[in-house]
Amino acid sequence: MTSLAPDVSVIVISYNDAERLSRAVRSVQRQTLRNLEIIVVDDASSDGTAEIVDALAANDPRLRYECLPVNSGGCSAPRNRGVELARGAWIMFCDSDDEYDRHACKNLLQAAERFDADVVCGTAERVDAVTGRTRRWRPETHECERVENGLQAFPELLFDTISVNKIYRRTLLADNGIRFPEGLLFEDQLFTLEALAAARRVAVIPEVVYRWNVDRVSDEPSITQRRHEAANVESRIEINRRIDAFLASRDLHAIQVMKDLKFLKHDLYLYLSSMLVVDDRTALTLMDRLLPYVSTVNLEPAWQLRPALRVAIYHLLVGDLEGVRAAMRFVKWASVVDVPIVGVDGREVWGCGHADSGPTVAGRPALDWLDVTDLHLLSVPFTQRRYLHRLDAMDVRDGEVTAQGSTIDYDASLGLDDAIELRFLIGGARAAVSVPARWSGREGDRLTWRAQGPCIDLLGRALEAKDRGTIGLAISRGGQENVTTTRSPEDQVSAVTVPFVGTTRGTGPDSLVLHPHDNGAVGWRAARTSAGHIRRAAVRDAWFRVPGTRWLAESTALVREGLLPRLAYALGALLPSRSLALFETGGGRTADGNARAISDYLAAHHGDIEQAWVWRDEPYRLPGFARPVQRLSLRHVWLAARARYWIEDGSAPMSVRTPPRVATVFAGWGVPVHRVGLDDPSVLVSRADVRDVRRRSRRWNVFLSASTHDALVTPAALAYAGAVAETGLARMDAVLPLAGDRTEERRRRKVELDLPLDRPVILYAPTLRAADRRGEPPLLDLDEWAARLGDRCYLLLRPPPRERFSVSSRLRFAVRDIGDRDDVQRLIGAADLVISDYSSLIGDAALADLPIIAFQPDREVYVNRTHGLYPVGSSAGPIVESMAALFAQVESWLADPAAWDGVHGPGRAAFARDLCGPADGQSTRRAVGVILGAASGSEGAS
Amino acid sequence: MTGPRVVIIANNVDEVGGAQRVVHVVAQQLALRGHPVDLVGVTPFEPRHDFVAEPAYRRFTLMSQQWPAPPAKKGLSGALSVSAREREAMRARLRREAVRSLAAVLDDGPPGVIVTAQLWAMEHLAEVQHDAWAVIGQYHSSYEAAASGRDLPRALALYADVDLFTLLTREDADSFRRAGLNNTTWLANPLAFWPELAVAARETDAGVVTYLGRLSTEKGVGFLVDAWGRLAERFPGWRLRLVGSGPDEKAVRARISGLAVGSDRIDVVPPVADVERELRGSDLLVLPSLTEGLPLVLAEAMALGLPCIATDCSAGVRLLTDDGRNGRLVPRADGAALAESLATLMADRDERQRLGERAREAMRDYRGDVVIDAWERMISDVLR
Repeated sequence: MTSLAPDVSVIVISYNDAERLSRAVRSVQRQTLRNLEIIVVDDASSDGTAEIVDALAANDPRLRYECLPVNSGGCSAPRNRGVELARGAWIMFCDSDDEYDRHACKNLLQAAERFDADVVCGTAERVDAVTGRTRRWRPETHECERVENGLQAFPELLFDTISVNKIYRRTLLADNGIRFPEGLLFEDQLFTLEALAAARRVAVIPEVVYRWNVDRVSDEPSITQRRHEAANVESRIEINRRIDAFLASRDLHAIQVMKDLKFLKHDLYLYLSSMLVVDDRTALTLMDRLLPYVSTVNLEPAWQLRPALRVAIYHLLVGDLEGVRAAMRFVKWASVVDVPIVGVDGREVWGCGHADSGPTVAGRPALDWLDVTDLHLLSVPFTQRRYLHRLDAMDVRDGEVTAQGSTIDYDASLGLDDAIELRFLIGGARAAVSVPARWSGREGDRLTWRAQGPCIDLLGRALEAKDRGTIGLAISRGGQENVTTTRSPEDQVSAVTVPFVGTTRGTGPDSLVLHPHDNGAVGWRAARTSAGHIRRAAVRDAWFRVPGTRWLAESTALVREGLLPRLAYALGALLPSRSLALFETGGGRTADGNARAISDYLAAHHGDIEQAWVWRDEPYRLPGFARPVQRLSLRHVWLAARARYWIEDGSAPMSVRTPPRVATVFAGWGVPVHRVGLDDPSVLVSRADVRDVRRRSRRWNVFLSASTHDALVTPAALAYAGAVAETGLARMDAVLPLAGDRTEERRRRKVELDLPLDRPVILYAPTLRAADRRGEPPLLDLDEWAARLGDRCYLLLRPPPRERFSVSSRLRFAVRDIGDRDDVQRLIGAADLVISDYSSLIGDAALADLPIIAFQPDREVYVNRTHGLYPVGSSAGPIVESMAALFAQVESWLADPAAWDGVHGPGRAAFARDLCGPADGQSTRRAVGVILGAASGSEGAS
Repeated sequence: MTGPRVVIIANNVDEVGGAQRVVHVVAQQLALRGHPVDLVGVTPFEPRHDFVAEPAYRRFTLMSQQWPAPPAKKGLSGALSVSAREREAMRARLRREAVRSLAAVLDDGPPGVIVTAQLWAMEHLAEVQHDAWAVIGQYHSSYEAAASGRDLPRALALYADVDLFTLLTREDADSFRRAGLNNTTWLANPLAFWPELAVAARETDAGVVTYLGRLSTEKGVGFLVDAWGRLAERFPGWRLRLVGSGPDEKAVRARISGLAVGSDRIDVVPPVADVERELRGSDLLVLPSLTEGLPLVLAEAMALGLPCIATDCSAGVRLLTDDGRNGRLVPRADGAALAESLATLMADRDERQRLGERAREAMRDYRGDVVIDAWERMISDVLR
């Protein structure tokens, strides 16, 4: 095999990186393509690279070693040398700190042969060296296989500037004299462009070929710091000038426009970002270096950039450093607003002093450059605004925390009488502890504030060593609350330590330590700082090194978790309560739904019944009249053993048991739309799921069904054999029976949730799609939605239980992710239209007589292959399968709601009547009757 | 001229079934083209079936006894039960035996290409030193089937590093790529035979509707019986033949005897070796499956020019059947829809003839020699 010419020559370059080099070389040696040669070009290392390569070459004749006589200081010379030595028909490059995917060479080579292409690009993956997390580089260009006749047919490839994720025909490089420019950084950009421009045919494959190891801890700050250095900027500009000259010499005008966009969007963006972190002098020098080139660039593509970046470029061009920084803060710091935003003739303008008098740039007046209407900063509701709160100092003395900072009141709407407090947020959302604060003054649009309070009292909540979060400022106004994370731009609070009150013992954390996030936010993490805690933790760790001790410690935990609960259960079962009702929904994360309606009704009409609600993580929205019980605590076990009624929604833990006398009530999920079925072999569920559902359903003895349809299909689907009571949807009693005009009621609920009153509110509530859609964007394309309908309606996004969607902060003006914990009835009560797919929420909406659109883009897969709908499907409203069809429906509804309802109202009414159960508002009363009866019945029987 | 050696490892190569037929056909065809071929079954199965009259390949079985199911008792009661412990010990012994025998098979000749037909076969190979070999891994079911069961994580772990991972359709290969594999491709299974003579649709009021395959839940035979019950009265001369056996045989028979009409015109017959002959005696083939890969029996029936109705249950079925053009697709698990589709075809000879002709035309791409050409290209690719 080695006697033949190799198919591919892989050129691995290295400079004083022996350790990582062997990893890179090994990733090439174990390629599934065997017929290749490996040329290691050493840029005159002094760290024993030669010996390492010798060892690697010991059993592999495919490996060759070449060492440059003197260090070249860049990647170009070694790569050029490698190309000169190469004998393969195809060339690939690899850097010493990265790795190839095992199938990289074969995938690229076969694609090149299959498509007869001269250059083929694969996908590169950035690997975070610390977390191991991977992110695809420029995924939009590499989504699917594509082949084109030359770069002009595929100008987006210009954005794929790196040289290491590609394969090149050797003759293409030789015949066209394409080499890496020596003596410059960013050599990839020119080389890649020349190769792509010379290629008759270019192709892209979606397979990952290159793993680009990014060491965030050591690499990134250094790159950022180097970005302002003369060599860096000048290389960048020189490369761009050469690219411009090359494109001009070939008359590639369309490519030039794409390249200008790329320069503004990526290259210039990096330098503008670095101005946030360097001092004034460095930043001004940087501006001086950039300006001569930037002012020659065609700025027309700037209108395709996001508005804040465009604003930053304008400030660069007029030489206003603070203006650049303010705009880049918005870009880099999760959209916090640092300057006043003013309304001018219906436009929202970045109010920085240039709006009226700023110079015209590139033929456009200042007002156009500074127009940020598309950010909707003024129309976004108060709770959703992003204020820039600077935390200037934090101090801890004598058991007290003091802090001071300032806030930009960007649309002059905050008042000194708005209540504020500083909050330590866990994971960025839930409040751990608050420190009282007050405004201390106002200078123009800048408000200053101070916070003062006792050191953090965390006795009520045990923090774990892995806990972390941010510090936010909460502003309350008229029952609404805005919480935005504070920033510490100059990092004045790093390493400030806030000790907990009253933790003098134990081995857990005893304080919070502050540190900055990449986006300027002030973060904290739990830590051990007192000598006692550190010593005790060290002693424990040392003790655990003795074999068997960890087992011993964990087995005492077993006793705690195994024996004590058993004792608690046995004792509790002997001491039954005559009136205790135990509630749980959403696995302890919520307190809503049918169970909540029943709980409220009991509190109002049966005061003698004692209630307890289970919570997990935090007692979230529990009713005030109920005893909070932490999930899986001893008390949980104890109360479950003593309870007379246990009302849940199928999410209570299986490890907590109840004696047989307890009325165990399954409060139901609502009107079944999609199949869940154990009774239906066409529903693809795993055997483990089947077993779990069987065990759960076996412990209920009452099922409160929403409707006849529910009563017919759900027990069979869950293999439930107990009593079924057709009580109706208790949770909907809050809105039922419908009577009169509900506009005022809806308005009140909108105010409660801080929803805009000037546009209709649309609730989008998709159903759970199991494990395959976690942390992904929703199926409804939010960007497209915001662009098309964002200014005409407001979208409330409710992810299914335990799912999370990522919603860009850019879309705040049009979309709010309400989370999965808010009570669905509150949302339905506020919405004007409901979009769902297969969720039982369709039944709720139909009972509330709300317009419904069934958006089922994955209908083909969901209905035909993985789940299936009941024959009733979703006749509650029109079914649409594409964004275009969805827009058409929503727009026709917006244009004339009455006419739309004339078409779809009767079908919905029939759906509600036939499938959704009684709409008389008496469901809770019936449910309570059944529950009380069941308890006395089971008592009689026992 | 001899080509590179090929070792094909499958879960079992003895039982009568579609998956087994495919590996025997591939082994025979590659051997006839000059490759030394070894066909290896992990577990034996009785009775042992011979698929090829004069095999040109060697055939091995790794375990000396049939692989037993895991003991039902688990946990403490499992640890205390003698029979359960014996069963576990036997499984461990057979596993060791299989790994040892596989190493011996590989050593018995020069290294070349190993093909693992299923995940379980690959799990055995993973324990044997095979660095000198190129490996082609296969998965014969759809991505959705893998994702809904336990196969997906197994496939991702076992197949990430093999030279090539072949799926039955492009759609499945793309899905596995998106799930993180960079070595996926697709290759259809070859037809076991290319019938020289097509069947012609008969003008008849005494036709035969055939199902050919295992009687197990995922095949959805119950829905076919249900559909039959809905239309039997309208077609008093027609019969339904269910050819196969399996875990659901009892349930299927119970469902048949529960029918109000038509139960006397359903024949349940054991699996047959001569599939072509069985299909030639038929007027319509129905594949009522809930999940599938690329169902061979559908391809064979279509190659014969037999009109077919299949459920829209996998990328493979959709690849073979262009609904309304060369066959009919119906929703899964819907007896009423299946009955309706069946009734239209049973009543319309011309439509049956038309579908059959086009079906045969579409199957030319799956002819043995066409697919084996692709196999040979793949073998030389992985050895590059």
